[in-house]
Amino acid sequence: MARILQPNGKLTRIRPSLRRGAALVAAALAAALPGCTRPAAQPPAGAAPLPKVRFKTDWYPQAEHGGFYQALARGFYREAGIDVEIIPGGPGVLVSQLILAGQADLAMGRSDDMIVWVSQGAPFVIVGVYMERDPQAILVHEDDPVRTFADLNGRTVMGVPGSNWIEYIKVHNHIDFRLIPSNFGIAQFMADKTFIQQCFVTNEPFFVRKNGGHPRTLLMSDSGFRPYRIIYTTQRYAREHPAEVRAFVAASLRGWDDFMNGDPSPGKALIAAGNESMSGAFMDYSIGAMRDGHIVAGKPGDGERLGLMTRRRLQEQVDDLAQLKIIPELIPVDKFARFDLMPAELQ
Amino acid sequence: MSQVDAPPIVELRDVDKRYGDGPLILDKVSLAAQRGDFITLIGPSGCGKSTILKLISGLTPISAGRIVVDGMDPASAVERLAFVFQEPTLLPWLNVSRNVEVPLRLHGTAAAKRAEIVKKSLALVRLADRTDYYPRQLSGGQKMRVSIARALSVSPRILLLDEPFAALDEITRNHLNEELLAIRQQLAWTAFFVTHSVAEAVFLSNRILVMSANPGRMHDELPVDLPYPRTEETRESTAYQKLVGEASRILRSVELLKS
Amino acid sequence: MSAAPKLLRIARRLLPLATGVGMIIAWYAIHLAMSSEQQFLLPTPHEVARAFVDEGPALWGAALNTGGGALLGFGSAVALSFLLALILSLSPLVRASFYPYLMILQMTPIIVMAPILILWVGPGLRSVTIITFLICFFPMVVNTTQGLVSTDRNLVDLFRMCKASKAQEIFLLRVPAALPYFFTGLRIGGTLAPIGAIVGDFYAGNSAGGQGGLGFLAIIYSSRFQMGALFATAAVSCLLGFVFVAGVIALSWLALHKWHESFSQTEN
Repeated sequence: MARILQPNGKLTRIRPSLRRGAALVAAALAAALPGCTRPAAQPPAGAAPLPKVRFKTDWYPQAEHGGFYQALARGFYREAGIDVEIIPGGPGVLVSQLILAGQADLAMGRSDDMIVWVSQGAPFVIVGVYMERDPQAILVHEDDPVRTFADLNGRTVMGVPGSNWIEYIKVHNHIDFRLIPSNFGIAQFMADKTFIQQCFVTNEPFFVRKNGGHPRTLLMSDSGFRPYRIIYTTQRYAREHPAEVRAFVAASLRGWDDFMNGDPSPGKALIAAGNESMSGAFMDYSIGAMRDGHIVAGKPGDGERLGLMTRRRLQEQVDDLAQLKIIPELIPVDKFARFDLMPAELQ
Repeated sequence: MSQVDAPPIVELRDVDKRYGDGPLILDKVSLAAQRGDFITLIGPSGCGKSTILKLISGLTPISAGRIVVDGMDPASAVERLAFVFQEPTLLPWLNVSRNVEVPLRLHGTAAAKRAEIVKKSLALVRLADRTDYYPRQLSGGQKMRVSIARALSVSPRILLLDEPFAALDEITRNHLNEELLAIRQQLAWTAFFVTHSVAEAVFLSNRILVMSANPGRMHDELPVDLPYPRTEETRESTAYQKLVGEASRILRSVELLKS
Repeated sequence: MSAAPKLLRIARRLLPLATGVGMIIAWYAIHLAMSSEQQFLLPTPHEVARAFVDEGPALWGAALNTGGGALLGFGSAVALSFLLALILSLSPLVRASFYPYLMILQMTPIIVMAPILILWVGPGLRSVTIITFLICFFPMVVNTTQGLVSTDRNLVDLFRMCKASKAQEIFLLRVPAALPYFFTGLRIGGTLAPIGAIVGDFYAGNSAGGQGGLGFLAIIYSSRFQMGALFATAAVSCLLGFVFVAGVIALSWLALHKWHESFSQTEN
């Protein structure tokens, strides 16, 4: 029996009617037609055009965005009543600025960035969570003496300047190390056996191995710094388009569930179509890394599940950032997060 | 002043001059200067008057013919020569006394000797009270005087002057002409002077050489028999004015040759 | 009748002040007229002032850091450009063979060269210095060479007649005569040096000892949306530029004011 997402966010069972059936058939057809960012399915005859939602990602299409592309490829967004366009990001693209300028409606980001920006007065709000853990890590060579974060003391690390996580590592381990700006490549890492850099556990290790190297990672989720990977928008958009937001969040989570636990081929196909340099082997590696690291759904034993956002954890983040003096003072969780736009069972 | 029996101090014989493959600038030019002469070269533009000065000073070589300066070739004789250019050509970053001593410094003269010579030279041009001034603080006439003092500092036997007073107003020019002759009373150099002013030529020299242009050739010579020392009164004498008229006539006839 | 010109003089001095006040008022007006989303991107003057206070130590340290790198790069550019200019001035053949390549290097934008340099040299003061060096070097070489070969022909003849050696000709005549050109090049380089250092810092700056340069700070502030601090960083960068140019102008005054026409106050 089909389960359909209602505009109010509730997933309900419904008796298949002709209309719904037509939509289902259309969605099934869309799933069978890979290779387009906009599925060929038509809305049921006589229905009003679906509201458009533009979603901005933070990089070229990749497996770390898999759930969204899966949802698009399998028509989950259309079923939820919205017409989604996924706009890939890239180097030098300031996603937050595009949201502010109204050139995209929703975007992906991290909860710690959101807290910092909102404390500076930015009118953003978190509306959902798509990864329980952040996939970033510290990349070292296998033989490097660094085994724990504290071992980084006195070393040189290539990373993103201003990274909250880097500050956290330094302060919480009472260490210091040199930070040099990241060029987002692995050339220096491959050339220098003592090189250490920030990386994504779903990305750099694959290429290091491909080039004959032996990498090891220290995961952010093991460091004590625990941001969510989130979906966000402006306060105004959430206020004026709650239905679209709800639909997007719920369908995206459905897409992630399907991508990680079902057959990820539709999502992978869409990603490959949008990114020429993307290989199947690389995507499979990323998916495997996300699974091994419990990145998307977290560890149930730790009270984590796909899409769950807790006040307690967000408060913990605020406290961390205030302690690091990255934000001038504590801000209430409700200032930067809305819980009422997520699927009912997550609230 | 001139000693006709002695060998000429400067002699050009059938001198040709061209730059590289260019046109002939001087065509079989001959002249002979006796010690103590004050020779002025006049002629239409392009007749090569300044080039003759450059040949005598060795700044550029002759293309054909013979040139003897103080018994030697110009390159070797250059130490006995001094050149006063059309512009004062002072080094703007040096003050007056340092400008005057430039040739002495380049020769390696000792400091004490330099100071003494500079003092004398500046006294000759009557600028002794301006030793610390910089060129930009001087008038055009003063700058020219410094240039002359610099030329005199090497005690030249031959003084070459290329339209030195051309940029000055008439009153200053007349003053400087008189001063130049006054200096000549004390130091017996031989002078080659180039000018466009016929009056100046007559006032200063004992021989005026008139040249024609395209290519440059010696056209005529006008001896100037006025007695030295010459002063402003000389300018009012009939003999002077007659000579000025004569020189102008010759110059005009040369210019008509062109057309 | 005599009061009017005096009033005019006072008015002329107050005019820039009045314009400044007007601009600040306009700034507030624009800020208030913006949508709430865009408003937060344009900090008010008092927010910028507050950022100056809050981030003071960081800004000051970064300014010293960037200024130091700029000075190092600028200084070495001055020395090496002078040497190269001397060599180039000696022979038209040498000039003809090297000038095209100098031009090519000058035309290559620093934004393209910087990442390449970082990969070769590694980040830190060394790269910042090299990038600053490259951005100042070529205008200085070109200007100084021009000065060395443009010496008054008559002066060169004078030296020749005095049988001056080549060394005497270069150091007693050509070099002093080239000083005004040299300082023109220096003024251009002095304006570019802080820019080069900040750009270099952007790519190569690092937090050694917890202190990056101004470019590094700009990255951090922009990533955290600290708009007030970002504007304050821009203001400090501007000041750094002023300091450099003022320094060069002071140097050129020292060297030239006694004799160069550009400094003469009155006619004679």
